[in-house]
Amino acid sequence: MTDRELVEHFLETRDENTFKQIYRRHTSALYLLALRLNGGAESDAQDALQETWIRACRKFADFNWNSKLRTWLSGILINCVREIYKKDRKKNETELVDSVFSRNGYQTNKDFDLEKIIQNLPSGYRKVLVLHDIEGYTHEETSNFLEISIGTSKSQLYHARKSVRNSLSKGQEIER
Amino acid sequence: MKEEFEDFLSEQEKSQFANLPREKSPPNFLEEAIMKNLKKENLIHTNEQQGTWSFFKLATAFATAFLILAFGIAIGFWLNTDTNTLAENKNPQYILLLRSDSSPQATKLSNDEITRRVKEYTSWANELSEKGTLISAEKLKSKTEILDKNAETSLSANDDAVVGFFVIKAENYEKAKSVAKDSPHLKYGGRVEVREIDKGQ
Repeated sequence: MTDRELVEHFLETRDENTFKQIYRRHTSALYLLALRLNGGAESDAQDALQETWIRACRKFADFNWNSKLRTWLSGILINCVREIYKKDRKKNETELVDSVFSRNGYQTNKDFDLEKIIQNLPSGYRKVLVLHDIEGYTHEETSNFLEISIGTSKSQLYHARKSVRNSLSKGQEIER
Repeated sequence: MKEEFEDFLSEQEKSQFANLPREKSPPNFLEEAIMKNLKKENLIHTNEQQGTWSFFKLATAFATAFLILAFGIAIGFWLNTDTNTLAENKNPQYILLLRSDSSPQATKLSNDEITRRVKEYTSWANELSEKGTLISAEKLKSKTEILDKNAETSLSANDDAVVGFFVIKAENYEKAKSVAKDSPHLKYGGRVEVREIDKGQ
């Protein structure tokens, strides 16, 4: 069944099993997005995911299908991540690092370094880079998601990429 | 005119980003916690609610203690509103395996007694949930077969069958044991096996 068929069926029945199909189709991608956006804080990502699905269930009927369901859900998730981040602003981000990469064999993944570098970017840079370069959203979409101007999105991306390139080249020098 | 922040990824950089993982499975308990919250908010229809009435009918019809236990656990599980599992997952987890004699002759009870015990199991499950101790609970159906490489043995009236389980958080084994000691299951002659879940830590 397509996403649309599943959601329409769910809206008619509010059936748990139908919801689980929607949930299982999108949750792993949303979870990784939340982890990347918040710098790897697992419990915050789980809270964001939980709130995302609650809001989605309330608003499915309002979704107009002008975008993909995944994009719509990502928008909700990004808001939730931002809200949780605001609440937890006092947290030292560095304390939250590591949890996402401590499992699943990431240590042996050849992209470990890049992932780690992205994780350690300043929050603003990281969010724009994740949405634009990894998730493939345009600057317009990214700026809408993050409620920033297109100019800010571009400048944050520029600095984020510069920072990533610097870190990667430092890593290569160390390897030599 | 060239834009101030104009910048393009090289093909190699694009490939590096494209090769990053696209998904990561969240822990299994998250789905359970989300389903519970959605049910609590009345945003999805619960299958367990529908099953509740079936359990009542069956309990009345067959008057078996096994059904009492199953019903009690199901209600406790359904009413469990614990969301603390999301943020407080540091304590070790233990599984309480509820064992009892599930043969019909051992479980004949009056309807009043069934109702009373259902309330007691439900109340215990709710208490654990409110304390943030309960992670999950499930009933098990009575059919049980133990297989080995040569044959299979049916144990339909086992006098030490696992009839359900609770997964709980506790600081240590002794604390888990004290939770188990409060279980109404012991009071009514059942046995509770306490095992720590090996998280490899």
